[in-house]
Amino acid sequence: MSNVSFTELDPFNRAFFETYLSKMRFLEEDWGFAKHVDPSYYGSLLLYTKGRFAIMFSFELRDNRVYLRMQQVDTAIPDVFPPEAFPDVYSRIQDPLFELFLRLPLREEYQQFFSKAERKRLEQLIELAVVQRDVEAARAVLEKEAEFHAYILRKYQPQILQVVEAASAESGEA
Amino acid sequence: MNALGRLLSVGSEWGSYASPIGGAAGRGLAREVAEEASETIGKQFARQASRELKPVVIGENMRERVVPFAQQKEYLTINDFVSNWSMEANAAWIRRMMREGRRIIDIGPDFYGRHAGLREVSCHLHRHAYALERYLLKGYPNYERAFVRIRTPRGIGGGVPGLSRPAGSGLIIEPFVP
Repeated sequence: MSNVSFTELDPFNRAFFETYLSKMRFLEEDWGFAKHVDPSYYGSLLLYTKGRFAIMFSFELRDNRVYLRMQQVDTAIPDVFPPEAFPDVYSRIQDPLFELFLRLPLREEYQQFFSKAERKRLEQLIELAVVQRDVEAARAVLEKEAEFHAYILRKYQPQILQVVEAASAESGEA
Repeated sequence: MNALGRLLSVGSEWGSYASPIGGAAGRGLAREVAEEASETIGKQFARQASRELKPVVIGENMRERVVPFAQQKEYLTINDFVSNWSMEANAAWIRRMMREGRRIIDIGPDFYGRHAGLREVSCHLHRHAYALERYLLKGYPNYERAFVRIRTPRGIGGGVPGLSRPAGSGLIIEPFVP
């Protein structure tokens, strides 16, 4: 979808794009990824790609949350999880970036990134965003979560870029 | 609406057959017969309509799971009915689907998302749409569970066997120009 105008979006999807496009600018400017957007009312997508790799931010309107995923663009990710419980399904996946992503200790990082008081405040904002449809509360939640996602990406930047660049070198891509 | 339209047209048709009996009494009788017939036939057609109405899909993660699953099966989602979402609108939609007798296919939690997610929201009925939907659907006879749930060393896992999240290559679109 091209020529997307923020004014055409509902306030919640607009808050998602404005927040994440701002916080993830480093993916374009420093990491050399290209950005793509696909707005959709119940769940918009923001995608950054480099070669055949993608960092994806998927917005869930009903929960005002954003899912992060890293993978090769042509990998179809199985719905069943975790991999050790479904070895046959996961053995067919050959995707070093997705494998790296699965190893990231996101839950532990989240607990360390936000203090208990911050998490409690976030819970209050989430309630305002979802139940009261408070756009400013939704934006505040998205800002915090984007900061966390940016922190994760920066922290694991060497490993992520190693996978991306090694595969690019193998395939002769720039 | 098509099913309802057919239902109404059948009642009218029955009435037109009955009306030639003649006179006011005949017309009254015809009306009674027509109404009774409409009611009986109406129930039959309502049951038939519920079978003909497309099933709807519920679950966590509209973008990556619910909508792709529904498209694959040619089913519908809340996306096809509610254009201005709120928890109230969501609850009203589920109640409407139940009143219509639709099959409601539950593809369950996003177990993968819960692993990668930042927060647990499913236990909060009042602020988690999927949890609310599950609550409202308790005891509904046309509810169908399409996912598996298993216990693993990492906690609860599961998902919909055979379902894949769409590959990203299909999502790459023209670069965004703000």
